Formats: sequence, structure tokens, C-alpha cells
Amino acid sequence: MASDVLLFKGKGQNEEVLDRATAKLIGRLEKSLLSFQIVKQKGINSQITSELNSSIDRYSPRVVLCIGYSANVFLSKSFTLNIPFVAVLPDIPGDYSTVYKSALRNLEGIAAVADLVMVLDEPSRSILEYLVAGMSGRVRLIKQVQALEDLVEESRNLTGVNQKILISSHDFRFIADTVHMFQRLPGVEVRLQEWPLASATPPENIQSDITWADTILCEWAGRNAVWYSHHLSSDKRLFIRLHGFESKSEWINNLNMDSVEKVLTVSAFYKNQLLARHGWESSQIEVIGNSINHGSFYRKKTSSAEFHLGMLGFTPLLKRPQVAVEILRLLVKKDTRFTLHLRGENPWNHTWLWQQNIAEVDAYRDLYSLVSNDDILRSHVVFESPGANVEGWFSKIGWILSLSERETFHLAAAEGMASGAVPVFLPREGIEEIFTDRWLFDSPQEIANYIYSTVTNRTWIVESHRASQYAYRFDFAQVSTRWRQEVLGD
Amino acid sequence: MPENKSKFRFPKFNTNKPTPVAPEPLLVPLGRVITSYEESKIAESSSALAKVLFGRHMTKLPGWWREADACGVVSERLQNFCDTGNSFVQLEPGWGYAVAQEIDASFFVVETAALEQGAWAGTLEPGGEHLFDELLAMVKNAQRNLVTPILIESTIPDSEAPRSFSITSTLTRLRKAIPGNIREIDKFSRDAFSPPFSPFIQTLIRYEAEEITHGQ
Repeated sequence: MASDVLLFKGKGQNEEVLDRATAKLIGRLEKSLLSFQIVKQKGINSQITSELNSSIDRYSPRVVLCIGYSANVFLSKSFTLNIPFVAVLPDIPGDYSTVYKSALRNLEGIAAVADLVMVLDEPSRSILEYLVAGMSGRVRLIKQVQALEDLVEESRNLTGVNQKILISSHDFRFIADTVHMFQRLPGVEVRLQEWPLASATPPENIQSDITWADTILCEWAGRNAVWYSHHLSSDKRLFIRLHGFESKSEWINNLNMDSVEKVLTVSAFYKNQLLARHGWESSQIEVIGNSINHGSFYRKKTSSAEFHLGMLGFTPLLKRPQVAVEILRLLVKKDTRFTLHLRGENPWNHTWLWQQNIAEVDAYRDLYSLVSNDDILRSHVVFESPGANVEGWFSKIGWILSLSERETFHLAAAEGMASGAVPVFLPREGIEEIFTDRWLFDSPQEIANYIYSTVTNRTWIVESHRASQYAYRFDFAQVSTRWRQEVLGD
Repeated sequence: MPENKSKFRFPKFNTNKPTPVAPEPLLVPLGRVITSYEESKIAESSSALAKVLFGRHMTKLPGWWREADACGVVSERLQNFCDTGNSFVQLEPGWGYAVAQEIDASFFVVETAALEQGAWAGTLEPGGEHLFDELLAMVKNAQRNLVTPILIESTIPDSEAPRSFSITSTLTRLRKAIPGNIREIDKFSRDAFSPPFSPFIQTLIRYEAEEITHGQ
């Protein structure tokens, strides 16, 4: 008998916890439209894969949930499932500051194979995202059964092709959802290849990777894209995802466009710019907007969020952190509860900036001096290091500042909006097409006035809701079809 | 006439009968990169930021900071309270770790009320893990430098909700890291052998007493 969801309850040291989590899940599933079957682990952990596979054969589920830390660890080590898989972890051992570290590797292994991870509570979710590579944005609470409904719905619509996709990049931050979607497609295999941005030399295993792959997708149009455009045989297809800065790079004109299947860019505005700048064929450039995982950002805000302004990423200077500080300065004159959080790498961590761009370094030094010499700014401008716990971080942020002179998209603004942070923008090319003009202002003074009046008029909550609703258009579900169409010809 | 560059070679794969394959494990983690918040990293990044803010040898630090009785993370209310008699330096995320080492303080004070709003907002909450680690690093460093850490607790209830980790709450961890809790000082001790409280501790005791009245 086929069912939507197979709940596989593993064995664990704390059966009571597993029972409670299973009961909670069942309670939620009963209220949903999903059909489900429950199977309990009978044998030892080393037999878990075969036990689970026989249950899958019997019930033909669309999604498998495995409950229990131990079971998931064993399963991840000999993973053979080819249907969407959710790891439910109500019993992660140890204290996060001590014993927990021994479990890090196991959890990373689970993150590498699971489509979703579910935990009982918000602190556990946040700690996983903070400490475990690959977990960021993919952890849900057990009560959020909507995530399972989405996964089942997606699996109903999946059609597959036999295809091997090699994704080559120096930075996989923005392609995680796409990779997971490809992995869920029947017949599609994905391999990731790390290729440093500065390197024109291919990595060691390049020949075996090329032989293996049918399709190469370069995430960012780096030097790897140039190399592939000159070295691929005609039976391999090359896609290049161009985010923005690469368009002005020194290497971009070395691309052999005859070997490129498609260049994928993030907005029609940028497509037009590429056409004008490089004279490429229009048919070779497609637009697939950047996307976010809306469900992972939408979390409860802290009670004082409306007083906290956030800027996620404040280098290079074109992000205009100095304008953010000016907005804060205007606001704290009226209410000292306002605080600005600048989160990201400091400029000296980017050698290309700190050692090569004297004018920009001077501007940053001025900014830091301004903050340190002013008693009020010093305690109201916060420099926070980058990290993977961004979804949780947004819980305290009520306003997301997007003040850049230039951006192809500005994912941080979309992420903040999804979380319920109200965006504020200064004019830049192409912005209205992506974010509308609702939150677009002409000056820092206008922005400060808007923020202050929204808070004092108690309409922040309304705008917060509106921003989050608006950000649904950036959800990965909206662009996943486009990815399949372009890369798989689906 | 432009050359037709359309490269539709579909379907070159067998689109009708996909072969189910188990995914290869991804050898590269996806998504945002995990950052290490080991104390050595915190010290390094804090020092770099402090140098840019306050000068290579911290020469731009206000003079009185170096001789302050205490430093730490407290509410604006307590800062104002301290201003009346004792000097206190408020440390902020990013540069606080490095600057604390320049201050010849006897006490490192953490008030939980200060972790709910302002610069340290969210430290005890999900999403504030990096700030919590930074604060703990500052406490540990203070202890190493023989600075006495003191905790002033306002009322943040410990969550009783079941958790996926058998983790202790952030507040409990903070209590563990800072054994000196101002509430637990016996303010009415008449023990002749007890040393008199320092003026700063007396200020904190007065503040705490007022806070209780204020809270009621």
C-alpha cells in the first residue's frame, strides 16, 4: 500500500524521547493531508539500510523520515536511498559546548545526505546551523509539518532524466537549494568540484570529473568557466551562472561562447547589460532569479526587533556601510534604543581590497574613526563576525538595509524580508524590477524618517508581514522549474 | 543573418526511463560557511578591529578606561548608576575582548538585562550563538587575568520545553561560567572576619536592591 510518508523509528539510548518525538510527528501528520506508515527498527544498526529499503519497497513512500540520532548516523554512512529523505533528530547526544563536538562529524554526514533535518526546538535548530557544515537553512522544527507537505508535493511533480551534473565553484553559498533539488530528481547525479576563484589551473581530478559528467555547471563565471569553455568536448554541455562582479572581470572576455550552452543570470536588467557589454547572443543568456528558502527564514522575532537595523555584508564600500551609520545616527538622536548591526567580514579580511584599494581603505578608516570617536555610535554600531547562523540572527533584526550603489540582486535583502525584516533601499539600477519601489527612498534622512515613523505609529508589524509576503516570490519553489527547464531540458 | 546558435540537443538522455541512483555524498558542504568561534579566533579578530577603532597601540582609548574599577556588559541603567561613584567601561561585541585586556579592572560584570537589548541583544537567544561564545571568551579571559566575574541576573525564565540536545540553557551556562552572583552575596553578614565589600561591590548591591524595588 503506497503512502506519502514513511516514518522509520530507529532505536536509541533514550527510547522515551524517541517515542515522544514520534508521537508529536504523528499528531501533526494526522492533521495534515499526508498519508503515512510507521515502521520500527527491529535489527541492529548495521542492518538499518536493508531494513529501511525493504520497508520502502513495501510502502513506496514519496518521502522517508528516519527518527533518532543513532539510526540517522548509521544510515548516512551507508546511504543508498534515492527518494527524498528527512532526518529527525530529537536525541542529539551531549552538551553543545563539550560532548557535542564529538558528534559534529556525524551530523555533517547526516547533513550531506538529508534533504531536511528536523529537531524539537528553536535553540537546537540554531545550534545545528551555527556549528554543523551543510545544515544552514535546512533545519526545521518537528511541528513544521508544512515542510514535509512541500517535499511530498515536489516529489509528485518530479520527472527525471539520466544525467550527471558536475557543479564547479569557489563558493557554493547560493546554489545549495538547486543542488538538493537536482539530487532529488530520479536519475540525476550531482558532484561538486571546488575550484578557487583565483586559480586558472584545474584541480587534480579534472579528467575523471569531465569523463564522468554530462553537464558542467559553473556557479559564478570564474576562471573555471573560461577553462571549461576551451577544454570540453562537444558532447558535454556547459552552463555558467553569472552573478554580477564577473561581468567586469579581467578573464570574462576569454570565454569561448561557442562552447557555452547557456549563461544564466539573475535579472533581465543584467541580461541586457551583458548583451550590451559583451555582445553575446541573446539566445545564450537566460534569466533565473536568485532564490531563498523562505521557510527557513520565517521565525519568531524578538520583542525589540523593530529597533534593530541589520546590514548583512558590509564590504566592499559600494554596500555603503557609512550610509547605514548615518541612518543610525539620525535615529538615535530620536530614540536611543535603535542599534545597527553590521554583520560580515571586516574589509581587512579581503586582501584584494585592503592591500590594493587605498581610497577604499581610507574611507573605511574614516568610518571606523567616526564610530570610535562618538560615544553614542560606539555603543550603537555593532560589528558582528560572519557565521552560518544567519536565519536565527535575523530574529532580532527588524530592518534590513540594502543601500548598495550596485547589486545584481542582493540576496541578503530578500532573506531579511523573508524573515520579516522590513527592507529599506536607496536607488540603484534595476532595483524596482526586483524589490518594487515600496521601500525605496532617496536619502538617508528619508529612510530614518520612515523607520522612526513606522515604529512610533506602530505599523512596523504590518510592514514586516508585507515584506515577508513579498519575499515569497524569491522562494526556491518559484525558480526550481526554471532550473530544470534550462539545465535538464525538463 | 545571425547564425542559429540554438543548441537544443535534447533529448540526448533517456527521458522516459530514468534510472534511480543513490546520490553520491557531497564532499563539499553547501550553504553558508561555518565560522570557528574558538577563543583564539575571537582574540585575533577582536584585536584587529580594536586596532582600527582605537589605534595600533590602543592610544585612542579614553584615558579613564584603563583605570576603571570594572568593565563588562551591563544595562544603561547600571552604567548610569556606576557613573555616580565608580567608573565602569561598557564593552561591545567585536572589540570588547581586546579592549578588556587594556583595562586594569578588578571586576568583569555581566548583567543579563543587557543581553536582551542594545548591542548584545539576542546573546542568550537562538541566532545569538556567536555573541554568546564571544561573551564567554571574555569571561574566561577575565578569570585568567584574575579579574573577578560577577553576574547580575534579571528575570529570564529558563525554558522547560523539550530539546533535541540535552543542552543546558544559555543562562545556566552563563551562571556556570560566572560563579559570582550578586544575589548570593550575604549583604547583611555581621561576621567580624568578613572583609568589607569594595566600593564597587557596594554599588552593585545598592543597584540590585533598587532593581528589586524597581521590579516590584
